Amino acid sequence: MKFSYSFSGNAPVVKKYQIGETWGSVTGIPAEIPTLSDTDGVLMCETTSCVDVVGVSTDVPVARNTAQQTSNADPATYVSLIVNPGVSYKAYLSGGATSGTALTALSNTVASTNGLLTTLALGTAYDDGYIWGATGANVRILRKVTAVAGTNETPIIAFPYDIAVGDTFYPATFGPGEAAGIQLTTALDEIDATADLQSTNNLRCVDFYQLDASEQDQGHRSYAEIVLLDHLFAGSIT
Amino acid sequence: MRIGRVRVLSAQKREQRRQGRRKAAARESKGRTVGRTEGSWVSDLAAIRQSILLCWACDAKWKGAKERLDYDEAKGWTKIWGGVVGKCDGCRQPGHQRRFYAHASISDGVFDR
Repeated sequence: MKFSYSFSGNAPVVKKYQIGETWGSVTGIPAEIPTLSDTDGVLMCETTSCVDVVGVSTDVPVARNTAQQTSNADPATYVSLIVNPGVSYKAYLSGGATSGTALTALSNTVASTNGLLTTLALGTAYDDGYIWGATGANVRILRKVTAVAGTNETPIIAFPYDIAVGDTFYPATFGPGEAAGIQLTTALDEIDATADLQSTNNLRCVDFYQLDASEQDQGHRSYAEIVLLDHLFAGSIT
Repeated sequence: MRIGRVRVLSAQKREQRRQGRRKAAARESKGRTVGRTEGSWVSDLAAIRQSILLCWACDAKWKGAKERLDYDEAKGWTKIWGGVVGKCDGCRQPGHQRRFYAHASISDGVFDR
């Protein structure tokens, strides 16, 4: 995830912190403060839990080192973090638990003349999720799914155009303004758009930038603006 | 606990955050050792591809460095907010309007160009 903007309009605040575990090989990893007293340094958050977040990484630290060096160099290893609370981060949507997985477009199998029924066989994880058009008349139009029954899905608000057989849609299990938490990919730098929402996670989506199939074919990716609710430097009132 | 539309943290959570802030402060990098030359410290950061923050004075000195070619500047951040807030890796002075550099191999994951 990347720094997008601060709700207060502030510039990014960057600090370097000692790491307490072997770090990931990508940037944009949220870091948290350890709860155990025998851990010395910040830790990476988990895919389903971001508690007392210190910030989001802007570089990749070298391998963690605890032994004394023959050159007498400082063995401590540091990572740079953007530590502002109340910040929106841009995180790409991944079509699986591995970062960079393309979203899968699902094909509609039954035509709908009122725009209130899709047949994509999404599954119950997408109940209260979101879909948007990848191809067809409703490209890039986002709708919340209120009910999933068998292979059918019902959007709350109708799509503006009729849905034809063969129209494709991208699904995501979350959307803007939802109260439930988002799950990260295993590398912790993107969102797993296929994972069911987590009540324990403190990541919330505030905005959504959905692209259609032709844009995705050109190498662009849909992304969400997310906020880290449980931030170490936030005030007593959230 | 919720009061009206505002959520107030519990006393336990506030204490947890206070302790967390103390832990974080203890683990923050102290930066360049006093007495060490500025250029060698920034070169060491560049050698391990760390992000670099420089004030306007130190930034001018780093412009001609060989390792500067391996870094991308977050020009969008400078344009929108005047730079980032933090401690200059050259002169150790905290403040606003620092230029932010990320190594070119990872800068796509840090900011948009």
